[in-house]
Amino acid sequence: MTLDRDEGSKRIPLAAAGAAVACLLALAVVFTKDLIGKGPGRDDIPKLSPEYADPSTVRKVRTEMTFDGAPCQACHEGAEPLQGNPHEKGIFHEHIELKHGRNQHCFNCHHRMQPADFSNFDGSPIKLDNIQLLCAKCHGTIYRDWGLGIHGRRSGFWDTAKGPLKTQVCIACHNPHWPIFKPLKAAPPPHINPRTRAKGGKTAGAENHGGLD
Amino acid sequence: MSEERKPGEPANEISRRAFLAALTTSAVTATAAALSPLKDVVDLPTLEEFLRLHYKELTPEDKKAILERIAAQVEKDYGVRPNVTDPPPIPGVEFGYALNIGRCIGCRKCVYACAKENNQSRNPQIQYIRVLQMRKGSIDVESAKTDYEGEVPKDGFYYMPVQCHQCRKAPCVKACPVQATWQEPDGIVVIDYNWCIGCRYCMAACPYGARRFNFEKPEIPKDELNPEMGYLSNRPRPKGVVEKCHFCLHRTRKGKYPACVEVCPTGSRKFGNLLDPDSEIANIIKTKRVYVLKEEVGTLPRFYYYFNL
Repeated sequence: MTLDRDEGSKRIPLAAAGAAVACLLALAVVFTKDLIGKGPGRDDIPKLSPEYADPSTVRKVRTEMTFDGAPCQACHEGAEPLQGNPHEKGIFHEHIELKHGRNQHCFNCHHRMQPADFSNFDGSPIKLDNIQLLCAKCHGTIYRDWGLGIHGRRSGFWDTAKGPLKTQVCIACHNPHWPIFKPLKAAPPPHINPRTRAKGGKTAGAENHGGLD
Repeated sequence: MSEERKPGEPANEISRRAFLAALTTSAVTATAAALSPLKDVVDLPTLEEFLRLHYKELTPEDKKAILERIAAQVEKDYGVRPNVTDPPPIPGVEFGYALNIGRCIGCRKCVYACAKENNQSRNPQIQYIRVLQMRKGSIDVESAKTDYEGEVPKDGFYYMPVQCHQCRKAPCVKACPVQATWQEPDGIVVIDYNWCIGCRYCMAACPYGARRFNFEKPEIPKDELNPEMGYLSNRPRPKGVVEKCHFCLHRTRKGKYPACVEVCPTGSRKFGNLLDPDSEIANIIKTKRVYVLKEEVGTLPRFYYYFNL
């Protein structure tokens, strides 16, 4: 082997030279045509359903005491306490499911004489507008927490100097006849890694490590 | 190889010089092709953006010009004229947050109310709140599930949503090499999306996994854009920056509750001024059993979990 200073005179096999150049030109084509692409496509994430961000309460609070549109007084004239077995008087309130602890009787809460109102300890009526006072008869600690803002929902302005604070009464969330909070359907789980379609087995923190699956 | 070639040799060889020339030309072509996506870069900063000062050094006029520039950009991109503001911290207010894990049912409504309020990217999906489902009896975050579906709450499980804890000793603030994230006087740890370089050190530093990175340009449907925007909160983020919960500061500094508090169907989420002894948050800390997540890491969060008892 001798070192040849006149490099231009060195010869390269045409096939090798052609192959090298062709490789680079092929790479150029791959890059410009984006043949490899940008990896797997994104998951299709369904559009955000408005109900997921709906701030309304789970129940509607009625503004007046009616039954099928008729006022209570239409049937319960209120002059005398009801007598006898209510089931013998026809089918009216049968759809009400009463699962409220040990309360078995309508008049534990409803007023005997004034059917549109509710009954306090001493028999005095509690109006629908003050329904929390009825619940407070048994749930005193929750009522205290509710007054302090610890229990229940609040919305509007925390700084009441700047705007109104809106609180919700007990029956906006709890069905008074069956007060335990009912299960809801959960909004969709997060798409932790947008580039994988694998499901299941993900645990918290997996998003920091590209998913565990 | 070292032999001298004589004229009149076989034609299937070319000179080394010609070969190098061809090789260089094709290598340049390939490099140019590989770099061609750069021509699609459209979000290069303007000169004004490039030369601007840090948020804390801005004069009110500077700030006004920046807000106006952002509003114009949003209008151009989304066809909606936003109300971009930069509400300052309120003196005498330190925000605190409490979450009743005895009442949370894991319905994830907070997650989506937050995404809507804060203009989070829908695809790839960015969510500030992660709801952990854990077995009753212990706080075993490692085995928590985030991908449960269907009716909640499930028997034998409880739910613990996790988001930014707005720590008093925030590790993310210490980790940031460019001071793009800092703690405001009302306790909110904020990010200037125009100052963030996307190094993600803060994400590594955060013990709560609360920070999210925009790997791609956020995608928000035009009709779902929230036009009430704050500079340090929910304005559309560029690609390559970190974001996180900021207690909806564009709402809370104007006296309103955060979006997650308003949407929670069970009333598990509580928010208020820690310095006001009559606020709900102060009452919770006074009267309830309160714990903070990962107390041992010494971050002193402003986010408290509490029980019904």
